[in-house]
Amino acid sequence: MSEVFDQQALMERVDGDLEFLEETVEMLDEDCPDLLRQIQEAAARVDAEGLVGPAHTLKGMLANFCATAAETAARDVEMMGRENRMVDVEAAVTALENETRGLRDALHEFLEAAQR
Amino acid sequence: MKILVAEDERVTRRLLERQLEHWGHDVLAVEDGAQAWNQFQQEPFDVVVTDWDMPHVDGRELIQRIRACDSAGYVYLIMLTGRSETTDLVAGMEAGADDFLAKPFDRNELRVRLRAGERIIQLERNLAARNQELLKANERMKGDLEAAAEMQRALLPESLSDVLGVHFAWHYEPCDELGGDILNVFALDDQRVAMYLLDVSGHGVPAALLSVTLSRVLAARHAASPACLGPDAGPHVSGAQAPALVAGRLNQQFPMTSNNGRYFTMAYAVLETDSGCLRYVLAGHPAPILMRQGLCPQPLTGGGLPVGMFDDAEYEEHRIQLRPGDRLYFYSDGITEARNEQDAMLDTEGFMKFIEESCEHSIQESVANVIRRLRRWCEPVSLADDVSLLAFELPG
Repeated sequence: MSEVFDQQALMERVDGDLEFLEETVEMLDEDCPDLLRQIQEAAARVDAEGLVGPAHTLKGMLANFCATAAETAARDVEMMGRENRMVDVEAAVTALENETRGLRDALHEFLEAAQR
Repeated sequence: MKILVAEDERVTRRLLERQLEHWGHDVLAVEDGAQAWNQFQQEPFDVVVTDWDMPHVDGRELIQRIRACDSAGYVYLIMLTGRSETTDLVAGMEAGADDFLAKPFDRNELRVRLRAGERIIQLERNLAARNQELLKANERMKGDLEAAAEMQRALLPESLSDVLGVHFAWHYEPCDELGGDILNVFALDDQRVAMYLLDVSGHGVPAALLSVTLSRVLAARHAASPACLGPDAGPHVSGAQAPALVAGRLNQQFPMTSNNGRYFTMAYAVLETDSGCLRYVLAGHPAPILMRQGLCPQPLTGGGLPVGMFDDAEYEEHRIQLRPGDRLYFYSDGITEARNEQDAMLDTEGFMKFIEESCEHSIQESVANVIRRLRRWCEPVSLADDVSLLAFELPG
C-alpha cells in the first residue's frame, strides 16, 4: 500500500520541525471540515460555481502535505465545478472526504509516532 | 527585504511566512487581497507574494492596484498559482506580476525567485539614485544656464533706446536658453552712433559664449578705440568708426580654427546723425532692410564673407545716404529662415512684407508687430533659430 502522504518530502518541507508540522496539521483539522461542508452543500445544490472556491482552497491546503491522492481528489472536484460536470459529483466528493479523512488520520499517527 | 504575503489558504500562508522569516525577511502575511491592499497603502513593501484566487480583492486586482499606485520604489510581484493553471499565470504576468511560483511552492524555487527579485529591486534603486543625481545635475545646469542667459540679456541695449535723437527698437529671442545672436547700439561721440547685429554659427552654450565675448570685445573697442585696434588704425580712423576695419580685425582675432569651427556673420554700421550718412559692412550677414517713406522696402546693397572663416578675408565698407523718416531693419536669418507648418520658409520677401505692413506704427511698435506677425505665420511651429531684430528711424 502506498503512503497517504510522502513523509520524507513533508519533513523536508517543515525542516524536520515536528512542532511546526503539528501547527499546520491543526490548521488542516480546523479548516478542513468547513471546506468539506461547503463542498457537500454545493454538490447537493448542483452548484458548480459554488464548488470551485472551496475545492480549490482545499486542494492547495492538501498539496502542502505532499498528499498526492488527496490533492488529486480535490482537483477532480474543482474541475467538475469549473467544467460544470456535475453528474458524478457526489461520488467525487465522497472520495475527497475519504482521502481527506485518511490523510488527517495518517498525519496524526505520524506525529504521535514521531513524538514518542 | 520586507515581504507582504497574500494567501487565503492558511497552511500555505503559514509555510510561506515561516520560510521567509527563516531566511531573515521581514514578513507580513494576510488572508486576502483586500487586507493586502490596506497594508500596502500603509507601509512600503519590497516584495508582494500573492495568490491568484482570493476573496474580496483577487490576485489580479491586487497586482493591478499596486502597479497603478505611485509607490516610492519598485515592488517585485510574485504570483502564486497552481501548477496546471497556465491561464492564470498569463493573466497575472499581463496584469503586472514579475514572476510566478507554483503551489505547493518549492523552497529552492522560492529562494531563487526572491534572489532575482532582490537583484531587480537593487538595480531599480541604483537607477532611481542615478536619476536623482541626474535630476540634481540638470537643475544645477539649468540654474547656470539661466544665470548665463541673464548675463547675456544684460549685454543688450536698454529696451527703448534713444541714442543721439535716433529712435531705436529691438527684439532678441534665443531659441534655447542662450543665444548665438547678439546686438547693440552705442554712441561713439556726439554725432555718431554705432550699431551691430551678429549671429554666431550654431546654438547653445558654445555659440553664446562666443557671442558674449564678441559683445565685450566690441564694447571695449568702442570704449578704448583706436588703441585696441592697434597703431595702424590711423590717426583719423578710430576703430569703432570704421566698419570694415572692425570686421577685419575681428576676423583676425577670432579665426574659426581657434573657436571650435565657429564663425559668425555680422552687420556693423555707423550712422552720422547730422548728415544721415550710414557706413556699414556686411560680413556674411543678411543685408538690412531699408524702409523709405512712400516706397517699397528693399535690402541694402553689399556683402562679404563671414567673420573667422578665412584668414585673408577683406571687408568692404558701403555707404548710403539716409533721409529723415527712413527706417533701417537689421536682422538675423532666424527671421527669414523661419518655417511654418507647411515647411515653407518666410524668406526676405515675407519679412519685407511684414515691415511694410508695420510702417504706419512707431519704430518700437513696428518691431513688435513684425515679431508678432512672424510668430503668427509660424504657428503652431516654434521658432527654430535665434531671432534678432534691430531697427532705427532717422528723425525728421
